[in-house]
Amino acid sequence: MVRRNIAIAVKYLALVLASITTLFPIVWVVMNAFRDNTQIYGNPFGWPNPVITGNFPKAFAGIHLVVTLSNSLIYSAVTVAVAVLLASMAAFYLSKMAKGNLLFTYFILGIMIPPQAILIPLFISMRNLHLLNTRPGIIIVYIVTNLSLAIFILTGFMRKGIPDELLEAAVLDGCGPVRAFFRVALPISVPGIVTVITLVFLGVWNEFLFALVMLASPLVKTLNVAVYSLRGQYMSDQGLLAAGSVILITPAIVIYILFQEQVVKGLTAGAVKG
Amino acid sequence: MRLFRKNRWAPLILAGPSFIVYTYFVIVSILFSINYSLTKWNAISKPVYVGAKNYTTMLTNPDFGTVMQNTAIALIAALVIQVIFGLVFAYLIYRTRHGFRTFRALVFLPVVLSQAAVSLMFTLVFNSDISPINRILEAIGLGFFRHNWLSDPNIVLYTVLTPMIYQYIGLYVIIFLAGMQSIPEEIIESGFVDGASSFRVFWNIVIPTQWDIIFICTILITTGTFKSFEQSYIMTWGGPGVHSAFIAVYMYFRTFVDGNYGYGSAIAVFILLASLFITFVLNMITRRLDY
Repeated sequence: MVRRNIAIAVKYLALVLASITTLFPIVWVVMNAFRDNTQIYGNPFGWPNPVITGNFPKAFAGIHLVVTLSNSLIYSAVTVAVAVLLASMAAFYLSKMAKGNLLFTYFILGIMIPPQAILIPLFISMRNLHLLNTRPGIIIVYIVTNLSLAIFILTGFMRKGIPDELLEAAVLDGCGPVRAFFRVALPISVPGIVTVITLVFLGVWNEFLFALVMLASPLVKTLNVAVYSLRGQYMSDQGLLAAGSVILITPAIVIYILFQEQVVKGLTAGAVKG
Repeated sequence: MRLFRKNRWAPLILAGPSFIVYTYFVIVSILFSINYSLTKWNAISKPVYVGAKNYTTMLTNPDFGTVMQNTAIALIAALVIQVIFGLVFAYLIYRTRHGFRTFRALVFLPVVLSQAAVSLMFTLVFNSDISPINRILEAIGLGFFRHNWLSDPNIVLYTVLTPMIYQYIGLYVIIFLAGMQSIPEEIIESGFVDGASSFRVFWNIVIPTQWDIIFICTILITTGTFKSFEQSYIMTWGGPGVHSAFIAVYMYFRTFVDGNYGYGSAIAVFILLASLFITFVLNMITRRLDY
């Protein structure tokens, strides 16, 4: 009995330690966002005293907050809309209409292809199409890099999630495949779609490499890359850099709190169902 | 149940757009990559075909050797740490009634942040002047571990590895946890009823059922490591030299900074082949272990 209690205590200790280690960098950075260099250099772990609020306005200006935030939002939202539409249509076909797995496997290969493998050709293609440094250009790139994952998740979802009887009934009612898709498949697939929306949105929001390579002009930069650029300008203002980091992670944390279930489900669904 | 057999346009309308986009921008791009890799090109003047010269240069370049070594170390560290800690913590959370949701939520939080943000945070943590890390080490008596985390060529690789592994442990904890939750309750219960200790249940009942998921996670970890860019680029720009560079960073610098698109493409093709190869090997290994 005692042995069991010790085991339980050790378990909780391990979990709490893990949680503290996980949260520590985040909490530390948030604290530093409210301190200035003298405080931070003086005592790395101290509480803000006095609380400095000047870091945030400076950070906002340094990253051209309005522009870059809007850009990130636009890219994420448009990519999500188009990718979800394309992927759900393909998923419907793959789950309910296709013979065999060939096309499905073809699309799924995309998940295993590292983005670097297509970075250079995409860069050149976009340049040739005069879409470099433009919003449509990067959106196309993001759609392309997220399509495979979206198709994978939605096909899995639709296979089990849409009862065949429902579709048969629709056919009897005179629906063609496209109408059946919009009237039957889509509404039922909303949970799966929400998962894909959350994953793709976060994926585009957090994306760095392609944004770095394809978007050089300040007008089209993303928030992610802009915060990184702070480091070039303000290398030694630790409070400012901390504020920038906080600005960057806040939307992700908010989305996570709101859509935690969907995010977790989406990421595990692919892996567990396999 | 295959519906709508008679409608010939449906496949085109439904799967067509995705197929076109995917084929042109992904599959054709790979072919272009291979094409470029056989040239010497600065993306401005005409490309010059040099056959396999990029590949031989790549394989004999000592920098490339260092980068490959770094990537290999990163891969092994990630696989070992993330899988083991992932399984252990997943099991701990799985066996916890109170606070299950909280722990699960907390451990997953870093996964949704941008890698750039996490890398920036760790740049601050490992900063040489303020160095909270060194101070913590001193405080707990491990002062001899002090280092210039971001500039010491011998240590810098591990510094860069830290955010990589830190950020994604949570992902694997969640995946393994979901896998464990799909084990029928009765099997676990019967294990305990038969007097097995928690560890035994973990080792003899839980783990054997999870090999498929473990395999999938090893693939995810592998592709993730090959993709990794932000940590190395943001924290140390791959330096000093290439001591903390991974293959994606090396490719970036050779291509977009040096202007050597042909060589960069060769590296890209190599990345692709290496990922596929390792996926294949991992498949073989875990299939053997599955019973």
